[in-house]
Amino acid sequence: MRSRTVATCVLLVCALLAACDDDDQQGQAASATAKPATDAQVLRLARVLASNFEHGGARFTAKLEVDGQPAVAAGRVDFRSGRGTALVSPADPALGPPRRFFWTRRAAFAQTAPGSRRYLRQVPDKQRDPIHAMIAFINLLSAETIDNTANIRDQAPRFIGKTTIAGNPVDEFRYGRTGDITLWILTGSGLLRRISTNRVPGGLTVDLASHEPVEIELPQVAHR
Amino acid sequence: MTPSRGRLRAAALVLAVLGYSACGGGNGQDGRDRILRVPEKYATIQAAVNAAHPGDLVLIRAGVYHENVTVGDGREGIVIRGLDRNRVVLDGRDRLGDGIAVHADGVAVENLTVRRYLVNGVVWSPAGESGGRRPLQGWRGSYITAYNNGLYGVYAFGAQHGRFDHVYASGHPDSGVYVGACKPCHALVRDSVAERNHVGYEATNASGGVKVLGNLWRRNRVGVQINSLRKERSFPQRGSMLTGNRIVENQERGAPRGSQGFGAGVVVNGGGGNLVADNLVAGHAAVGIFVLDSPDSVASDNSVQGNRLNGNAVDLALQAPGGRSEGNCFAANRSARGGPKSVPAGLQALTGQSCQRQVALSPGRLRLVPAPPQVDYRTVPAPPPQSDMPAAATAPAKPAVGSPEQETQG
Repeated sequence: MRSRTVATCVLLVCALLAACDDDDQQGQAASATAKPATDAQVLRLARVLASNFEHGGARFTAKLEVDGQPAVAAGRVDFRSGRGTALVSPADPALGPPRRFFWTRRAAFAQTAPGSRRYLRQVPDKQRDPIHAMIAFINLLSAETIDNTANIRDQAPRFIGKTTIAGNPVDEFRYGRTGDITLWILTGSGLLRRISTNRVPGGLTVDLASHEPVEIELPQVAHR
Repeated sequence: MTPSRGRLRAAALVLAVLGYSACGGGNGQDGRDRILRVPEKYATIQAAVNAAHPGDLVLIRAGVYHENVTVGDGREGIVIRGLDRNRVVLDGRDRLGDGIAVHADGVAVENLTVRRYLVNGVVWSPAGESGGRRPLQGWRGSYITAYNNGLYGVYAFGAQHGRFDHVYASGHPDSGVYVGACKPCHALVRDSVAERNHVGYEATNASGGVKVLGNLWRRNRVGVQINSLRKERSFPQRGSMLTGNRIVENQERGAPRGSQGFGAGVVVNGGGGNLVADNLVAGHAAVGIFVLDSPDSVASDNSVQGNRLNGNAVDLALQAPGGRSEGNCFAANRSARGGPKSVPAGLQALTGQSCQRQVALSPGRLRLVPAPPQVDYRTVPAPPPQSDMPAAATAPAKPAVGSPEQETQG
């Protein structure tokens, strides 16, 4: 009798999982069945950042928290030069207009006022400035070399499960020594589709909508 | 006195190997033959490893083997050996992950070549789903040639009581030879050569009983790098010894890169309590020996002494944003052109008598050399043939147990 009850529960869970078409719900349900990543999966994780570099750049969106309020960003990044740009807006439009940022590996340039053509150079401060933290995180999403499988294994990598993002099948993984990183990797191409971290206060999720060469023209004032 | 847990485990491994031998254990073929021959009896190296028991010798005939080999639980103390270092070749064809990945205690890999793997040539790291919380105990890599792998040549991570000797490594965008994430390590690196890598020898968070003796680190982008890195296990780095090495001309534009460093002989990046002594450090476009604070930790109590310096743009440098040396001392280093050129100027006079004491530094900043463009590691020329291990066909299998100094070949 007991085994029949368990089997019934398993069927019920499966049915619930199948019914969860929404990405986030599916991700939560899947985490209950997380398994240690296999060697082949660790190798996939190791290749993700190098693949981003090889493809040159990406268009992205991001969810972050600024001054305790949810915010969104939409932009482009050139992984090879380390340059990028993003329009950052409060999730609630009533809280203020969007503001554009540019960056290089050494500096960020913030629009002095919404809509302005003037930019203010900022010294990167990822500890205190959530937008700088986002920029630093995005700049870490590429590497000239493959990542280190031994280091990844040392951070308890887990395969959470399969799901979809915008209709594309992805595999979800999680690992981290000093905080969790969750990655959603496109099942076919092995490219990074989404990455989320709790290492940034309030959390940060970045979606890469494309993988392609990107050129970033810095505004004139930003060259100073 | 209570023996350390590592020593107890090493002793247990020795007993396991001896006990298995005494019981006539072997490769399962006839109960006596303890040599598992590839490809005569086993078509692949992995098949032989899977059939091996503690103390067995996997002996590989000349040939090119397109496989990645994993040595896991139950294979403690085995020895994997090629009969001909230059003609026993594991070739990943730029598709496979690691050449040989060892996750069992006491395993030795000897006398073979690993090339064209996506990540590492030969790696020792702990077992377990999370990479393991306990360090791997006992490891040895001898007479290994590793070239044109995607990250490291030979790599010991989270492993204690081991050694690399007579290794040759080239064409790696990280380091040719690596020891890291161990405390105490009880590791020995000697009689090895690394060239045309990003770094010749690298150690991150490798502390306690690390001896790097009598090696040649030449024509890499950086010769030696000792790091203290918070995000990795066993932070902070403390206490290693780098002596009697030749560290020359590490400004090779034809080497692949993994980061921006270029033209430096020895870099101690945030480490502490290291001894860099009696080395030849020559021919570097940026700096001979450079001690600096890392983003994660202050370089402290490092001793740089008795080195011969020649042809470096700057011989010695100490970079401490706090404006003082935290017990680092530079003493009795000799330059062919007189007193060593240093940044800040007069570094030996300032710190030479002040080991492990704070000293205020005069201002000065080292001028770094921009890194040349990337080089595809797959295009670095293959190395010339390297010396074979003596008596590879007849030398008995010696599991990697005991202290690294006591382990000898032949």
